[in-house]
Parts: sequence; structure tokens; C-alpha cells
Amino acid sequence: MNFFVLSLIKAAVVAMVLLTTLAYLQWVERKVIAHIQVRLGPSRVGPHGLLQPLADVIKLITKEDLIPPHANKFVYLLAPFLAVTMALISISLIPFGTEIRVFGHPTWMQLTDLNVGLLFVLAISSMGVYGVALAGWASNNKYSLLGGLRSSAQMISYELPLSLAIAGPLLLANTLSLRQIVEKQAGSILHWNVLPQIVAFFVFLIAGFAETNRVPFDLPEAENELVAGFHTEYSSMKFAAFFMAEYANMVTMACITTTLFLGGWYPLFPVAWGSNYVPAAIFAAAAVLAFYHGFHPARRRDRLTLPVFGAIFLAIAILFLMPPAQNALIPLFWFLAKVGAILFLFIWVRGTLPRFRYDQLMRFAWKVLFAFCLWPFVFCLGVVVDVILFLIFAIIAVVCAVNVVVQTHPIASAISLVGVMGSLAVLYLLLGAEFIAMAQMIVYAGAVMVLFVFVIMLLNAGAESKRGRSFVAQLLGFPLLIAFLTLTSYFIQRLYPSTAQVHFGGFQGGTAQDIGRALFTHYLLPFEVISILILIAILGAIVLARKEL
Amino acid sequence: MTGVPLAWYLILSAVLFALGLAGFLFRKSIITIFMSIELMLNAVNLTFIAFSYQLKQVNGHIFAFFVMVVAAAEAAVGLAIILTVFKNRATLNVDEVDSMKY
Repeated sequence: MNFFVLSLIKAAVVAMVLLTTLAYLQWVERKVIAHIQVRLGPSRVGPHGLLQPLADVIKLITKEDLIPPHANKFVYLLAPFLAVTMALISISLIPFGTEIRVFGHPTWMQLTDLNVGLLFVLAISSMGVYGVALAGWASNNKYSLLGGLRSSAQMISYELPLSLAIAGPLLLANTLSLRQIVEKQAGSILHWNVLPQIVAFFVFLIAGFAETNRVPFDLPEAENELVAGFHTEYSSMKFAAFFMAEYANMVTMACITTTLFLGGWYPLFPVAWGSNYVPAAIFAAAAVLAFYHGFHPARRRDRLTLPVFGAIFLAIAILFLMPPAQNALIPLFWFLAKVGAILFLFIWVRGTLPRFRYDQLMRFAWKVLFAFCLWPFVFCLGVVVDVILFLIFAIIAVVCAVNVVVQTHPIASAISLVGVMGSLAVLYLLLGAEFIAMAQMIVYAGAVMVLFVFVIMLLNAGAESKRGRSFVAQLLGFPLLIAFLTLTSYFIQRLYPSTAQVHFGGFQGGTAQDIGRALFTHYLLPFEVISILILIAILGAIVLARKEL
Repeated sequence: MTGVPLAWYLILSAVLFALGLAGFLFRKSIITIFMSIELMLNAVNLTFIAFSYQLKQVNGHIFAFFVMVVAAAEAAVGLAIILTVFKNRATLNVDEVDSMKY
């Protein structure tokens, strides 16, 4: 069979299944939220409201399609289609399962596998913001405009932690192809990326909530402050397009999460432990439950519907046990089960959490999430862990050192100086100087600085007065300082090219034995001199402190 | 395997030294000036240890050790001097301790 024909068939199947899923996802959401709020949810159209999506579609199609008079017509019409298209495209890259044979032709349960797949998904999801932002602008409505503004600010902000959270699993897999990322996680749950990348997983999930404009990040469409925000002016099928885009984004986000972190189509535990029987067992249990409730019905109409569901579940359970179907269905089952779990989480969160305030939303993105998503690098980049540790402690040291100089109260300076010494001790460890690092902590941080703090407290030294500071010194001093630093850095860079590098464990000669040997052989005289020096210092300190001058 | 360039350690050391120098020159509280000196000594120690790594020799560690001992001695004497100065002048501002200047 031709490659194009096969691709067309696959595209048609995926599109049909996806659109049905979107319609029924809404039914599931309404049902789940209803049960969280102790209501029944949709139950009029069809058994258990199962035909509700169909009724909704008919309602939306037959509604009047209004275009507000002062709207920018072209952009106004473009926006919903942009939103829904961008939401649907990413699904074409998701690997749903392993290789299967269709009429004797081997093919993957995936529309296409780009070798830059993950970047493509990111690119498309960043285009998605246009739909919402343009809709808000083109509607010529202040609420819509506010919604569009909020949405663009929010999506740009959360794009950053989202992309950074992706970097962790990406570096573990060493590929951008979604299929290969899944294949790298083969085996049980222990091999999934979620365990080594647990922080990135949660960051990704939270940023995903924000990217899809879901509660608690649904500021762009906050009903009670913006009257549905960017889609206030949209009616009929154009409104439905936005609705569909939201659900399609949810599905995409859940699929990407599954692919990146939850091992894609691989089962929870190895096949050797009987994971192939799990889907059949689950559906069989569901069938038994449905039959039981069908024969002891709570309402009269359940007498018929529940046994029918039971029979369907039983048929699916048997299907999972048949060898030819197993090959294709079991990976698909595991993939869909994980996606379903994440979608349920989306709905659960909507039923549970209140909405963020706008400033909280922004603060959360930039101060919390962004900081958190830098941590996964520390865990996964074994190769550059030296660099990261160096940077962390170098930054701490410099910040504390600046604090020493600028704080007016001496006690604040002293505490900052302890910070400098502590981070320098870690840097000494990185340089292989264990003994000196410990001495640094004991002598400097433990003894000298305690003495300083003691003296400050004894003298009850207050904050330094700012009067009498020389303006000339300040004006000249800082440029001179910066010039000095620039020059020094330049010469250091020139003298020591990047080939001179420091690796953790690259120098083993800094142990207590080595230092002791050096002290008592080559450096015996200086050692004795310095011992006498410190004895004299002790005597001098006592004399100075005792004597009534 | 990528490591940290040695130059970064040296530049960090230069930054810390410059900050210590700035504190020494700009501050008025004698205690803070003293702490700035400690900061400079720490920066120098970092250079010693970084060079010790680069040359794969323990000598730098020994010098850092000596610097620490001297710093401890200096702290003991210096703080005793600060106590005495405060006892006699009731001030910690170095600008006011200028009787030998004129």
C-alpha cells in the first residue's frame, strides 16, 4: 500500500477519534464536576446523558452567528480557526503505541515522527496564543481585550517554565523525537523519566495547566470578572471552536506529559509480571460491577442500561485477551490510561481549586516555577554538575560579599560574611581541598566570626551613620572598582585559557595526611614560627583586654 | 566531561577581593572594616587553593592554612584593640579616632 494512502487513513482515524474524544471529554468533565459537587450532571439526553455532546453540537450549530458591528472582521473570523488548528496539529506527533501491521504493512501508531518533534510541539503551542490574543483584540470589547491581554502575558510567562521543564527529560533521552524519548523509557515505572525528573514533572504539569488556560489559571476567561474574557463576543460554532481548542490543548498536554515523563505506551510493570492481563482484568472488574448494579438498580432505567455497559466491558476484556489484538491494543491501553489519568487530574483540579489573582499568577510563574525548573538540571546534568555547583556557590559568595559591604549594621555584615565563608568552603571541596574546607568552617566560620559577633554584641554596636561619607569617594570608587575588575578578569582569561579546567576529584592531594606531611617536612620552620605568632597573639589579646589603658 | 574553567575561580576571587577592598575603603565602622579584611583574606585563600589544584601541588593548601592562622591571630589582637578603643573613646567610627593625625 502506498505511504500516502496509509498516512491518510491514519490521519482520518486519529482525527475522528480525537474529535469524538473532545466532545466526550466535555461530558466526562461535566459528570466528574457534578459528582464532586454532589450533583448528577447531564442525565436527560440518552442513558446517563451520553448523547449530551451530540445535543450540544446541534444547539451550537443552529444558534445565531453574530459578528459585533465594530469588530475587525478578518481577524475576528481568523482567531477561532487559528486557535483550534494550532491545538489540533500537535496531536499528529504523539506516539500512541508500538509498531503494528495494517493489512500486512508495518506502520507505527503515530501519524509522523519528526526528529525535531518536541521542538515542533513547543513551536505550535506557542503559536496557540495568537488565537486567544487576536480574538480578544478583534472583538472590540473591553472585557475581551483584557482577557486577550491577560492570556498573552500568561502564556508567554508560562511558556518559559514549560520549555525548561522539558529540557530535563530531553537531556536524559538525548533526542528530540517523541518516539525515541518513549523508547528510552522502556521497562517498568523505574525507568520512566518521572522518577529522576519529579520536579520537572510537576513544573511541567502546572505550566501545562496555565498554558491550556485551565482552572486555577483561567484568568483570560474568568467569568465573574471578565464575562468570559476573550470569547465574550463569540457565538455559535466560533464559540465552539474555542471550546474545542481548549479541550484539544488539554488532550495534547496530557499526551505530551505521558510521552515525556510517564513512559508513553510502556506498562507500569514488566510483561514478565503479567502486565498484559491488567487491561483485561480492569475491564472484567468494570463489567462485574456494572452487572451487579444492573441487577440491583438504584433507578428503574438502570435495569437495562447497566447490563448493556457490562456486556460491552466484558467484550473489551475478551478482546484484550485475544493474541492478534493484544499486540496493538495493550500499548494503546497503557497510553490512554495514563492520558486519561492526567485528564482526570485536570478536571479534578477544576472542581477543587479557586482561581489565582492576577498578580499571584505572575509571581508564581516568575518567582516560584521558574526557580524550581532550574533544579532538574542539577539532577540530570552529571556532566556539568561542577559548573552548576560552582555557579550556585559563587553567586551566594558574591551576593553575601556585597551584603557585607553595603549593610549598615555590623551584625548583618558578620552574618553575610559567614555566608561567604560557607560557600567558599564548598568551593574548596570542589577544588579537592578537604582539609582546608574543614579548617575554613572550624577556624573562620566557627571561631573568628563567633568572636566578631561576640564583640559586636558586647559593644552593642549600632548601625553605622551615613553622615560624613565622601561623595567623591563614592563617585570615583565604583567606576574604579568596576574598571579594576574588568581588567583583572581580562588578564585572567588571557593567562588561563579555557583548557585549564577544574573537575571535581581531579586533585586528590589535599587530605589531612598530605598537609601534615608537608607541614612537618618542607614547612616545619614557618609552621613553628606561626605557632609562636599565634601564642603571642593570644598573650597580646589578653594583655590588651585586661590592661586599663 | 566539562569542568569549570580555572579562570572562573580566579575571577570570583578577584570579585571578592575587590568587594573587600571597597568595604575597607568606604566603610566607617571599625568592625566592618575588619570584616572586609577577612573577606580579602578569604579571596586570596581561594586563589591559593585554585592554583594548588592547577599545579597539582599541596603547597597552596599550606599557604591557605597559614593565612587562616594569621587571620585568627589578627582577629584575636584586632578585636582586643577594638574593645580597648571603644572603652577609651566610646566610638567605633574610624574617622573619630584621629588623635595621631595632627
